[in-house]
Amino acid sequence: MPYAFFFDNTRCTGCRTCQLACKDYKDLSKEQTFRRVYDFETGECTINSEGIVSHNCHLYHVSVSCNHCENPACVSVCPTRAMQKDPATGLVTVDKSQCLGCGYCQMACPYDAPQLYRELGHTTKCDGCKDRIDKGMKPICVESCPLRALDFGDRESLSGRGEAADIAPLPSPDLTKPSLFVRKSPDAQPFSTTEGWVGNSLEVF
Amino acid sequence: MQEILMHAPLIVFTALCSMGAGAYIPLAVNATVSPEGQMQPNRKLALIPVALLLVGFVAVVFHVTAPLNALKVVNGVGQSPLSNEVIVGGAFLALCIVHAILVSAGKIPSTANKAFLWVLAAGAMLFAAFMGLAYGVHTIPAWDTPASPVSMVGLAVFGGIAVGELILGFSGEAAGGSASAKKALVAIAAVAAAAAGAALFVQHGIAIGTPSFAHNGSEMGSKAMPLMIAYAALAASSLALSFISCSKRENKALVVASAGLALLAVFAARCAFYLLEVGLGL
Repeated sequence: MPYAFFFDNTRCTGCRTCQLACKDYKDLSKEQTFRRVYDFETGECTINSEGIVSHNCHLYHVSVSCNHCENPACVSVCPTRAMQKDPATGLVTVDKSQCLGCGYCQMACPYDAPQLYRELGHTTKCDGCKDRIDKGMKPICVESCPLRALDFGDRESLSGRGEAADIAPLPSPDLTKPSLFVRKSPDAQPFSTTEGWVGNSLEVF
Repeated sequence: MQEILMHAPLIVFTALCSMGAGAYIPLAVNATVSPEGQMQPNRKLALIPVALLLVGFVAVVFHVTAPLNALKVVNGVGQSPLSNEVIVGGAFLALCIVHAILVSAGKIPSTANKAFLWVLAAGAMLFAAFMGLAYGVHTIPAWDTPASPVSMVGLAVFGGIAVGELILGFSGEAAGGSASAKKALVAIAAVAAAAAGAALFVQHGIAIGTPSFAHNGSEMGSKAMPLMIAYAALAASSLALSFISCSKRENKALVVASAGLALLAVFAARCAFYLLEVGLGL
């Protein structure tokens, strides 16, 4: 049964609890982050000749980790096959004993999910909390979300709850066919928009 | 600058390996056009290409975090462009080492050496093409284009001819070949350098037009442009010196200067290339 994430953009307040819960559960260093929250901003604030200020500014948040894509770029470029996609669960994981540490996966992934940490000597990434899944639990990011904006489960059933990752600032879902379905808020922009910017670029890039 | 430092080992690898590999082209041409018995360049100098290749391969060790897993790249052959590059490069390096040993021992007949050099020249083109194909990552549009292998093959031919002329220039007049053969090689080098430069400009155009919230393509393009201009100026200067050296009897200073400028040009091109890493994603 291939798994997928679901993200409810109408609920997310950008609190980063998912991100911190992941860091805590996985005991990540301060430099490591498997899940990130992107603050996407659009619009502008203007003042007219009569001194009246108006704006059409919008802000929304997108929480993203590895999307365990159907066509993962990281797997196809990995020279040692350390990066593997489980055919049964669809989860993409890295075998650290096989990893060369070349960073090719990080370069290829359009979601910046695999991270090469030189101190560890290999790539690290979200494994979908495989240990919890095996015990019938959901990933820690999903269970920690106070707004219940995240969910995880059978790809087929989640696909009916949202669109396939078509939300800015994420790239085109056609690139890797991510296992991420998004319920978009009215302010959400499609991936193809040229308007807007990532407001917390210093945090996430 | 940070982007260049991050890729420094790969810049060294692609620059030195392309030049070292390409050097077998002028050596093969020289062995073919020179009179029988005068075709052998100085034995020690003939080791320069393999030395460049070895330094390039050693540089890669500093790029990866687990070099002991290097042999596992065979697992990705046919799937990963990087595996394909490493396997082709490794096989080519092995052939070059065998050739260097035979030449150093003086145990290779001139006809066999000529054939071996042409095999190495063909292998050099193959290796350079695979070096370029390794950048075929579909999420980085400026790299995922035929311009990448064209650029690498172009740099290998241009830089390799400069290295080859250096070796032959120091091997004595007899090993230097005829002026017309030298001029033909300089013409080939000029075409190759122009192709590599044109490929770089194509990639620059793609990079600055790549939509991305994470990367500023225009800014990266602005950083790359001075290096691209430097490449053009250095390559033109190197080729001009090579052309002048064709008709000079004592041309050692010229071939040294030409090879030095070619080395700087290839490094400038590779630095510019890595600045054009503008991905489609985050």
